[in-house]
Amino acid sequence: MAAIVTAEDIAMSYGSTPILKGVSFALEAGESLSLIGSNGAGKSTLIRCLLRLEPITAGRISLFGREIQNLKPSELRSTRCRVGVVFQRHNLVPRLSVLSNVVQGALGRNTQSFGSIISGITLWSHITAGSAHRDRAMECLERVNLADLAHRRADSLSGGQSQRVAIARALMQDPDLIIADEPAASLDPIAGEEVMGLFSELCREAGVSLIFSTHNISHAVDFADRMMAMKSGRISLDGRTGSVDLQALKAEYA
Amino acid sequence: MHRANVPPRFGNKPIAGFLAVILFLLVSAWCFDGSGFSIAQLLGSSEYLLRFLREAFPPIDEHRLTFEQFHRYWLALIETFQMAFAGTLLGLVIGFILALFASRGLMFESRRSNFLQWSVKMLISLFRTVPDLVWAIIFVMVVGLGAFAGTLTIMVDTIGFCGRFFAEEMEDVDRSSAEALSASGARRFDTVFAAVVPAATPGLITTSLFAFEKAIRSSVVLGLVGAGGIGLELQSLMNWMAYDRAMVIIGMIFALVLMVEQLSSYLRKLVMKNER
Repeated sequence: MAAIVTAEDIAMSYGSTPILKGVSFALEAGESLSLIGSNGAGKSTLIRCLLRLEPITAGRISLFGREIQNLKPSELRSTRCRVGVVFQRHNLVPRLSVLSNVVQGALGRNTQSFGSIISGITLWSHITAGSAHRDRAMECLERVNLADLAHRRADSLSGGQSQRVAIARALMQDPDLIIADEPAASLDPIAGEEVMGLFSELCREAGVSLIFSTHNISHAVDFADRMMAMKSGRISLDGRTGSVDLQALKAEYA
Repeated sequence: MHRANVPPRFGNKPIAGFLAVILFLLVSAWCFDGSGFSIAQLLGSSEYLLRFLREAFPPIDEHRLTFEQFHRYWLALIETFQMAFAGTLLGLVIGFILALFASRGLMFESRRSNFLQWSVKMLISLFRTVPDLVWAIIFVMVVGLGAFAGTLTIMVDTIGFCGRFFAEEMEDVDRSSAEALSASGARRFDTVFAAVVPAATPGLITTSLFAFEKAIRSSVVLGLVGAGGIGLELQSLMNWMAYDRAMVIIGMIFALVLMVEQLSSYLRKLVMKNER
């Protein structure tokens, strides 16, 4: 199967402090990968580099066969729009409705022509969005069981509900890959379990690849086919989740 | 007791603080001296104040204030309101557009855009730092006496006021949600309007309401230099020492400003009530 994400010997530093040191891995289509490691190990930085939210200082990153460092802004957008992104928190626009936030997931798919500027404007809010986009957003909300909260303001939701809306927005993109940076970190254990279960189920159903980082070793093992552990900016372990020794992992990384 | 063990509140006051107080007192004394402030002169002028008040009251006297005159003042008051409203509206739109470019890292993020941001900030500063009366004198010279000069003055003044505060409000917005949209391929233009502007909206509305209050107050004064509105009527009555009719106008201005301030305050509370 073809690799949809490839990182080759990437390095990244903040000033003179090296954060990533020679990280290499490849992710195949349909595969789910969990990233574990203590704070400062480089998980979030790796995720931000994969999306070109931070520049790398050495190496190469390819998404869907395109080397992202050299892409022009329009090419970068057309690559990013295939990736649904869920951060730990602050994913949503607080004053807008849940439905508007989900509708905005289509913004990325809508940047390929000059005429799309006008249709992009309609996607700023569910009020201006066309019925096709609104219906699709409602479908995505139904898939995360939040259709009844569509017209609530995003800042009135609980942490778990917010993350589910962020997942719905990622689904609105119709992505080939979802990247989530500690999506359950700010949630209580039950909500965290639900959100991770939802991720894993939706990705498996739709054949979407998944990369997520977590501090929870059980989540890393239960919701991914493969896991990578990071230590001081390097990959210290890479293997199938079925073959890892959970107790040893907990002793080393929890 | 060892010096290091002394609690901070009992420790020696730093010498810099003491010097700052002395400097403040010296500057205050120097400024009061230069400002010509004199209580004796103020008390000595009381007869002029009494004369003004004697002639100003009663302000409405059927032998002195005709209906035609009152009707003219009313129209001038309406014109003042119209000038303030139209000028503020134009200023808000232009100020908002300039604020988008003056706000750090909002529309663009490159070295070249830093120069653009700096240039727009300078332009906004120019609009803000030159007083409105000076703008009014310039616009009266350019477009002639009347309400248009006043409207342009209020527009420029509002651009200066709102351009700065709008930019600061958008800079203060947490950019995480905009980054989440950008990471999923959205255009920067879309992320600004879909994520940053909605988050800044309460601040933008309250600033706009303050700008309108400010515009109403300054539109009254602009007439004094010929830029339309009720100030022009007030100035001519004061020149003719027709204090009774001047008092009618002062009363009308007071009512208008008070009404606008109350309405603005109510709307601000309404906006903030919806925010937690």
